[in-house]
Amino acid sequence: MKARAVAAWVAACLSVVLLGSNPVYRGLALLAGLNFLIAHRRPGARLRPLVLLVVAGTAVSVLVSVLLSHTGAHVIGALPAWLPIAGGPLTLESLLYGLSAGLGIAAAAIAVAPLSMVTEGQELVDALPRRLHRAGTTLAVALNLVPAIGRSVATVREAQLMRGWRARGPRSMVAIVVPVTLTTFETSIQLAEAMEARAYGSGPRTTAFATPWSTQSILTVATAAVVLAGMIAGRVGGALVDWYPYPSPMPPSASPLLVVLCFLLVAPALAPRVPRVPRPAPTHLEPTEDGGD
Amino acid sequence: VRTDAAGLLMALAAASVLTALLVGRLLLARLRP
Repeated sequence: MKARAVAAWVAACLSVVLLGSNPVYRGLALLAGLNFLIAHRRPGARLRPLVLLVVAGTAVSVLVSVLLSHTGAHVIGALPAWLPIAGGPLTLESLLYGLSAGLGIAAAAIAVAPLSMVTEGQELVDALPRRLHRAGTTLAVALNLVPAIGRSVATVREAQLMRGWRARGPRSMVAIVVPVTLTTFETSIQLAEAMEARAYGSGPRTTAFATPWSTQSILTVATAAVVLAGMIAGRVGGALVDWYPYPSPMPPSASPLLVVLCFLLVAPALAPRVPRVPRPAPTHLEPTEDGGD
Repeated sequence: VRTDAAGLLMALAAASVLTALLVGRLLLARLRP
């Protein structure tokens, strides 16, 4: 799928999650997002770490809300008053608020996940406007360096342990920090040389595998536009109503039209998956559709 | 109140369909060799 179509879908899904605090729409966006991810994720992209992170985030949200917020009329339990901060009554309202906030965190995380799990890094850079290609490349390179530094720390630490080094306070960490810093500089210089050898910056950005606009991508953009416009109109017009469990928990309000809009988010996941077939290496590189700078 | 009830019922139906799709996809992915 075209990266711009994925970005449009992400924007529409995020609008559902962030324009209001209603758990009905957030829950539907979460389910639609999971369907989208499973339908279109790249081969090899693993869902389990993301799901674990989302579950952990929701659990933390619930725990923090229940233990730290003691307001609400419906008491479901109590902790001893001598416990600092957490001590006091535990209320149904704080539990519901934590669940609602956790649902928002989970839905937002799942909504943006397609940017990394459906598209490739270079496709995202290609999807940026021409003027942002260099900034996008710099950002992508910087983000790629983060796991590289992590691997470098592990390697250097193992090597130092083999030489008899032991961690004894902050001062002993110099033996790790200095080699890691030097390795990072070396890796950066090698990367810059490799990019220069591939003629980076000498002309328009080129791509070997330009993804064409398929019917599926056009359908995705159209769906996203309808959902985004509908949610903004719902927010401005008052149909999108927030939900809070305070002062007394009530069922959330749900507009049938906005429910249909949220359900529309799953449409791109229903289209048959277009297999990624690597194309043969081109005899000449194609400029990106924006032309480059 | 009536609109809210209709909206909630529709949301429940939509969530059921989305969950069924999700479970179906996961089962299919597991069964696929």
